[in-house]
Amino acid sequence: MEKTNIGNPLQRGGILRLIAMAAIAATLGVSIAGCSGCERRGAGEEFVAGYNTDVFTFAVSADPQTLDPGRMSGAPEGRIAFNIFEGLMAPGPTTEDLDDPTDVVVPGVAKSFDISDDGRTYTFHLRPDARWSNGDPVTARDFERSWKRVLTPDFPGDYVQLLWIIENGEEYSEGKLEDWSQVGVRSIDDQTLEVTLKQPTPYFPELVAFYTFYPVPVDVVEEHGTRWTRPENIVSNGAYKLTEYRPQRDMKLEKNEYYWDADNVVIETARARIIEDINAVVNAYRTGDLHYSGASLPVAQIAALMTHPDYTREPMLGTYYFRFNVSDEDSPLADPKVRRALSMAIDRRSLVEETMNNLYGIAEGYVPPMAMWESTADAPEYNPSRARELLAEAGFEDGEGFPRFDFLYNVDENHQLIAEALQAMWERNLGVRINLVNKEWRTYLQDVSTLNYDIARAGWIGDYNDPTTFLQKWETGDGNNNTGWSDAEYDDLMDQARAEPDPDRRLRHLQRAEEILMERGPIVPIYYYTNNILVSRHLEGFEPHNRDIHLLKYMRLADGSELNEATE
Amino acid sequence: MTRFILRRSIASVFVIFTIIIISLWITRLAPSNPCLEERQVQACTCVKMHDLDRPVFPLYSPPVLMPLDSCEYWQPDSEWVIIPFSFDFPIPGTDPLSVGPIHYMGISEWGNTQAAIYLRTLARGSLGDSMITDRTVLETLGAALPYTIQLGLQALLIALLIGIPAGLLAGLRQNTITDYSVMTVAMIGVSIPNFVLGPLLILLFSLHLGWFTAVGWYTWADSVLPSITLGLFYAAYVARLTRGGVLEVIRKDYIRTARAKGLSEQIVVMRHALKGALLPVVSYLGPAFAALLAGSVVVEEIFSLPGVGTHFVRSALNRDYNLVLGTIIMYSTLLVFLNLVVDILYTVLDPRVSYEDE
Repeated sequence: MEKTNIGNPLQRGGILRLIAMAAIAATLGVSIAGCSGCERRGAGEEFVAGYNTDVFTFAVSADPQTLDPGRMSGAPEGRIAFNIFEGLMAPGPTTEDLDDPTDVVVPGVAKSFDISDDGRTYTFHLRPDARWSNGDPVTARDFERSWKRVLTPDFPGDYVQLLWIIENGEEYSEGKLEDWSQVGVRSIDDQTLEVTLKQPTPYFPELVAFYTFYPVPVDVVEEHGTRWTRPENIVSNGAYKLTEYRPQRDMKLEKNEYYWDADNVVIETARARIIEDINAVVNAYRTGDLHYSGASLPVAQIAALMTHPDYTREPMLGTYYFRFNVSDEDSPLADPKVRRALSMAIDRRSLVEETMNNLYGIAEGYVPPMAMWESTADAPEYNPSRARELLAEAGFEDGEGFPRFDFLYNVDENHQLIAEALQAMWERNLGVRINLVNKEWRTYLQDVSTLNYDIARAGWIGDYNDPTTFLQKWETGDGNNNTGWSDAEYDDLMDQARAEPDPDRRLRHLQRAEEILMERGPIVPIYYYTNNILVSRHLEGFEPHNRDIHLLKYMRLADGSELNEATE
Repeated sequence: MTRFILRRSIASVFVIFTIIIISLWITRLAPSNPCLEERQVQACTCVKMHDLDRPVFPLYSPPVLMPLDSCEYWQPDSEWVIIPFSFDFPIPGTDPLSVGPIHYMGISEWGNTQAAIYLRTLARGSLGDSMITDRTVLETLGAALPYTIQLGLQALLIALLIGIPAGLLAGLRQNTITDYSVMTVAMIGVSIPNFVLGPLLILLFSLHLGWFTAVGWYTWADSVLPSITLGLFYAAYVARLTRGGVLEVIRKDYIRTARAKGLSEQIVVMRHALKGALLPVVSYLGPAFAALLAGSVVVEEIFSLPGVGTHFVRSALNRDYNLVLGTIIMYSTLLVFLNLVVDILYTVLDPRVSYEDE
């Protein structure tokens, strides 16, 4: 008998369909966004945040890769860690309009600290009432053990190098030093921790408010291994504790009754909903499932959402720029004149105000504005005729003979818009033509880090409120330099700044370094990032923070009845 | 029959093994790797932790797992055997553009390759750890699979509940206005891709009417829109199959006989015609369910559901090799198994099909 056709042809069709769909899935965001434009009814009435929720609910953009503060990096992880753990210092409610710049951080587990005259030794005085979520006291010894753990050679932590600021921390971490007692961390008694640093570090108080410096319950970690952060095992010392985690769905944070400041923590329960697609976040906000959108909104939807009463914009400690690959000495891009010409041929104002819908801040320099810092360097002014002259001086009159370079960016609507605008400006002002090349994120990362590009877009978000988080990466051989740029004077200034105990003189070195970077560096800044978010207008205590750190313990929700009336 | 099942099972294992090997190769051929982050930090530690510094297969050419060339790479104890010619053939675990000279490892070292390590992990009944998160691949997929299966079943149910009555109606009223309208709707159903339908349903039922949430799966109600989105295409297809079945059966002699016996039209249809008419639909169920499981990727993305599809996409973007492989193994096992079941069901349903005398 004849063999039946068992391979159903439909099934093959199904797989083909799947492939086609996958290809089109990328345009998905656009299709949803397109529809949001259709309904331009008065804002406010159809957006009602908070209706369906009786607990404070916010979105995080992904499952946390880990909830181990010593190992983590990234926004979703931080969003949780800042709330369930606490360092010696804690992030303050805001970074804007500070009377005293050091208020970027406030006392956490430590109630105060002293600094030695040379600025290298910090003595932290811990509060005796600091407790883990199991009731045990948090001691100086906990900090020492936690930091030792992060500095263990081959520890798989993303931010291990932040702890290299501690004296001999780098040597211990690299396995060159085995004697822990030589590392500059010492718990003198339960409430006193003495830290000696490699160099004067004015931003150290902010560093200890960062999760890599948080204490972890080392005994619990040793007992459970990587599973110690599971809700059933985790012991933490923050205002909240993690009581539930459902992957791809949500995390539940409940107030930690042992927290030293628990009396002032108002929100009892919070739910972090894991929603990857930003368009889905907006939908969830619109249906009243979220109080706070978490991630920044998609550019395509901003125009429709800007009039929304819950729309909020906060400045970010970050700069959007593009970089030149200067590693090939024969390339025209290695010529500072050419770079300056290309820089002067772009109109930042129009890029930000028109191309970017005025969402961001025009970058006047490279280091974004922050307390404790006054930028003296200016990004080259828009001046097409001077740009043409410079290009001619470099041997490319009217762009004649100028190679057609690739402009590399990762797939993203924003980057696409900027790249197209740059392409047009360069062609119009200089007669220089470029190719636009967009690649998926990790491929882009690989190309950038292997210097397999000509010009590439980039962005940098600062890790702490100090210009060094922006300036360090341009030192010769820094792992994040990725341009091949090297300048002896620049390196020298950075070294001087590091050794300088006087804060004012230190800042002057850094200012000079930024000036050099703007004069002959491998980068052209375009805008300072902002965070465009939706936050329920019934949420109090949510203030702008330039590192997007918003602690639940500062917030409170207006009560439910008030909420419903107000959303009429 | 037993022999057939046995033979097919062995073939299935072979198919899945081949899929694993090819996937191992392809994941490593994709540019970049799971240890590359925007901030270059402990990359070497990450590479070592996941054995990415080893050759994937015994074939080898100098590692270009950039930009990690500053890391100390694993080296075999024995000498590399060098084939002194080059050919244009990408070698896994290296820069796909690099061309010879090709080294290969002495057989005593084969156990140290990434492939061998992965196969040993499989042999222990594990799918390894995720290279990005703190969870194992089994945990990750185990948490997600129930949602994908439930979504698939509900979509299938919707497909049958809508498709069969619609197909019956159209088939029994062939070439009438009813037939045309039902088939027009079915045609539209087949044509509308779910990445259009999903957002439209969200717009109407979530944002405007507020009947359902737009995002996530927390209560059963949250699965309604995704199931409809996923199921409607198949409903349309089932309708067309049913109609075809009815048209074929309704002209058969035994139906005429039944009518001649004076049975009511209702009994003729329900008791006699339906059974024959549904045969194509029943045989379509297996492939349909398999396609529903694999096809839920887009729907899961649209509605941000906690299913396997989301992992499938995300793990590939993250270069989470183990999770990519785990998902592939899971999908391929499901598909191979469902195909096997369908083939067996064929013999049960249709006595004309037999595998014994091949």
